[in-house]
Amino acid sequence: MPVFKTFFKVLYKRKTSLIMYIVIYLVLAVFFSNVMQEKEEGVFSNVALNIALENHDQGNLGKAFAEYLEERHTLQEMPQDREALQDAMYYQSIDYVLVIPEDFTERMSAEGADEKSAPNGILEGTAVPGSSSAYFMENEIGHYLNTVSMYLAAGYDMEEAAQESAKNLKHKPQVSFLEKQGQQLPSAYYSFQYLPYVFVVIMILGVGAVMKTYKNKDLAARNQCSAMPFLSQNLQLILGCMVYILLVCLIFIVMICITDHEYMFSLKGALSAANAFLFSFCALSVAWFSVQLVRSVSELNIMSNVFGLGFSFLGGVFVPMEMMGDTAKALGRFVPSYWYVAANTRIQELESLSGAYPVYQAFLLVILFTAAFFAAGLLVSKIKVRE
Amino acid sequence: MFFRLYKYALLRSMRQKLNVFWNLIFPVILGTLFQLAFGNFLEQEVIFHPIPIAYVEGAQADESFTEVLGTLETDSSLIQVRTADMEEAKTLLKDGEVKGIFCNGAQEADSNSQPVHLIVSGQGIDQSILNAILEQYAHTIRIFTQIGKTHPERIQAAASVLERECQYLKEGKISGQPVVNTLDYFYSLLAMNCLMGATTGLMCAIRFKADLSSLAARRVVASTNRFCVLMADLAANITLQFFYLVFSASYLMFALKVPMGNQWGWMLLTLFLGCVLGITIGFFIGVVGKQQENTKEGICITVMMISSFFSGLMIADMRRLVESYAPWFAGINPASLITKAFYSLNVYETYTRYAQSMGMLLLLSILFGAGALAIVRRERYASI
Repeated sequence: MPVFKTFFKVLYKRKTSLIMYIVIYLVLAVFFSNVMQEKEEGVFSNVALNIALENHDQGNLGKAFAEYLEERHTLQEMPQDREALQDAMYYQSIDYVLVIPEDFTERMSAEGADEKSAPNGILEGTAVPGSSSAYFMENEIGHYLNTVSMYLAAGYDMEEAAQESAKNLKHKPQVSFLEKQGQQLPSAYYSFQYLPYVFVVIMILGVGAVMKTYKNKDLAARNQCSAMPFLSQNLQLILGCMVYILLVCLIFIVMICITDHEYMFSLKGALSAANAFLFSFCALSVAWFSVQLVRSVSELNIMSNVFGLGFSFLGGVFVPMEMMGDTAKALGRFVPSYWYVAANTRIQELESLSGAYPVYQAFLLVILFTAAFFAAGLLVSKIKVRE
Repeated sequence: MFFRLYKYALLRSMRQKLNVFWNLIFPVILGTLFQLAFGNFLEQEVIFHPIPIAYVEGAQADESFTEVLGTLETDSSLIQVRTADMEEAKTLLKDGEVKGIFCNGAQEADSNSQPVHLIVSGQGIDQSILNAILEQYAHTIRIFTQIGKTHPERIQAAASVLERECQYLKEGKISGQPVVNTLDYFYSLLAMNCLMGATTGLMCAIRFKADLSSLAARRVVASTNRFCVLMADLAANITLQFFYLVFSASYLMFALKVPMGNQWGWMLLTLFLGCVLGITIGFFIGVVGKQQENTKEGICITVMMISSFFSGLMIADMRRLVESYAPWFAGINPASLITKAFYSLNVYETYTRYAQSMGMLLLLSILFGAGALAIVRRERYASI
């Protein structure tokens, strides 16, 4: 099978760029599966903000207030200079900056219980303007100071008021979850999540390069007058594609197996693998379509970036769909990776095969996209032949 | 002579379609995708919006809690209340239409549930705010009960504390407009666009060194001064690259409305130095060693991609990670320096850090440029 052999010979020449994309994928998958894993616990707890606190207070209320904040949030050292503080706020490693002034206790005991003059502007707080964390902190701080003021108004002295407030504020109301929490997304979820990008890229660069070589005008003319029937040549090319797809799927699934073998040998693992396998066909048909549009192998790089990045960003591969705007969400439905990601997300929610209907639906849409890109490729190819 | 050479170098570079794609169209595509993906981040994840909640009122509902919710909705627009029955509320929560359900006196299957409680579907800042509302309500009731026992005569005074309008906090000022780290993607994109000049710089070297291309060989035997040709070529490419960059930056700032700052003059200077550095790096790679053109192009692209990766093109926090774990690398990585310069302009009020980054960019450009010129000066070929 000379055509089949040449298929892999041409492919071998592209090994550097193919390996490079596999490495990029590995870096992304490993990084995100470590960073993105959120700790969900069975019991509800408030979000702990990172607060940079500077306590200049001479009295004891400042200390009590700092202790209260420390129980609920993570207190951090105030960065040394203003620029370091701005850095920390930009990268969200500090959510809120609070300065307790020297006369905090003094002013609170003087004005706290006063009905007329409230201690306005007693603390200085800084946050990203209008942010949720700013609202949250303002609310918490207001509540603490209100509590202290109420005790003061009721005739408690400052120390008692601080103590009673601390005691009272420890009380937690009842909060329950709608559904049982504590499920953590397996690391394999993240590994599967980034597959569309790498699949599209290595299909376009790999299979695309081979197809482009065979479409070379002189080469195609020589092949056409060879003794081997046209059908046989094409069948061998198709066989090459199938073997390539199998190889690619095998490589990635084995890689995921190594990191999370427990997941892969479960129902979810099987469905995820099926999802990836179906998408690899879609990637192949995208490659076939993009080959029709380019004039040289170097232009395939353009196509791989346009389709790879385009599908990944629009389909919610790199950034979760919930974080995108309405336009992006609406556009997303028109790329196959959206449905791949939808299936990947749904699979994680499955308990048994009986509820897998939405997953099958997503599979079907990926298959339809495969057919659509293949047909579009045929159309472009036909038009070009006519020209 | 110089201007004639400059003109033709400019025309030649403009006609390289692949270059035009990578420098002009690719940043536009990637910028648009970034904007679609991250443009909403600030609005959606950071900025506060009234929290939608469902409210289920049962037979033995606590009237005062209903009032509290009403005040929170109308006066402080902290929440948006939708009254519903339990089943409806649960569906709303499941579909993500509301962030939590406040149950007031509604009978739950769980017999030991408190009269007022909250049901949520996850943990986040919105849920924490809802929890805080409930906490504050419960605490206030406990305090009144306590004061009623110990100082019943002062209960009115304590209540009046709650009624007064008090702003305990005065706002500290940090920066003009809210910015978050997703901006790094856009800065990094511009940095990559600057460094793409490396491939055009490489082409200058190939057209200049007689052992790399036949065009260069012809140029060596021509009567025109080689350095005059080279300088015109470099100048033309810098001009064109700068034009591409201004186009990309304008597209990001005006078409996509990315809040990159408004210090136009300094931004243009940064773009200019960035593109000079990109082209000198490419030229340097071109004149060092005797590798094939393809190999050198590969090196240019690798340098560009690695440099951009560590400046945050793929992961926004990358620049900060590099700065904290390998500050020396952040100090010499071209893309990090360009990103840092843009960031400094937008975030800090002072120009110290901006000047540091720009100084380093200038130094690197001089080092690569002078190094490359030192290698090619007085170069003679015995035979090619």
